[in-house]
Amino acid sequence: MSPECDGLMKMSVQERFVDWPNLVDNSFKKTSECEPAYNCVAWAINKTNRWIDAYSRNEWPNDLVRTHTAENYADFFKRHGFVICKNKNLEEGIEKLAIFVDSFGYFTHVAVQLIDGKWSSKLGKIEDIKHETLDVLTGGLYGIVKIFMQRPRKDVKKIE
Amino acid sequence: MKYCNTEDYDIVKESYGRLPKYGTFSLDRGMTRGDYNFMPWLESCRLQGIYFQNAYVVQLQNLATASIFNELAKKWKKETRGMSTTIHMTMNDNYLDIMAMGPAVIPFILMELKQHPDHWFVALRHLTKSDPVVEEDRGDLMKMTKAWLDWGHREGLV
Repeated sequence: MSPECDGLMKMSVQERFVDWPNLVDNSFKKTSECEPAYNCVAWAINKTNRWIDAYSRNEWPNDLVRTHTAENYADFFKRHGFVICKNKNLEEGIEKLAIFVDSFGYFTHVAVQLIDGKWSSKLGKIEDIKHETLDVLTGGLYGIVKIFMQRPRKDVKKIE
Repeated sequence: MKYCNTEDYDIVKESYGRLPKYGTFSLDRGMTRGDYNFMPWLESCRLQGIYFQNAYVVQLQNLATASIFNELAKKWKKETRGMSTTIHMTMNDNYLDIMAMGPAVIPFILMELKQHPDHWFVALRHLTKSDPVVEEDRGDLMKMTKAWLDWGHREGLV
């Protein structure tokens, strides 16, 4: 944890609006402290000690291209047992992901569905949150959801 | 456009004792002589390849680089804290401006990295043309930080 975290809980309403215009006070709950050591991609595959992305010199499979499209990130998650699915609907025994993209089609974020149908997101270099819907993270930094993926639920995240 | 002329040089030299100390300087007020705010001007001189011989002014140039780096780094952290990917973080204007400051900013990046580990690796690799991080440590923030700080020690920059 970063002791001088300038994270979500210290952001002004205006600052939060710029990054996540729909993330209002009652739409989420903070579930961790700030931690720049891992990102949402790592969080989605239950790692909390790695920053995983396609940019050169970061952790990324050697045999996977380093492009930043949502489809390439979907290929990354396929290696962890996920397959593309049609929707975000809660299904028993199924773990789902939602991949967000910006206006260029670049990957911006991935959120993980929890067993109660709510979602868990590691926000960049700052906190993890539990949020009611995917809509609360759309707009601003993360854009829109482009791809849903699923796999049989193996682990229950600690926050649950 | 500002030029590093004799008149400005004299003002900087005269004002040295009254300039704010490292870390407390704000660029928000702009460059006005009344405020003795010469940091952007000094940095612009450095970027133009104009270096002063006077020891005080040399120190001021370093102070200017530090001040501008600190301001840009603070803005970069704030504007990218919610970003999940390196490409978005490093395309931020403040990060690009830091890289545009050139090799003079490397010691300040290393100092910042030591105090607050963060994703400075793209800038360091770009500015130094080195990459001390071994493949198995890629993505491990603390190990990458250590590799760069060790490199900085070896190069006499930390």
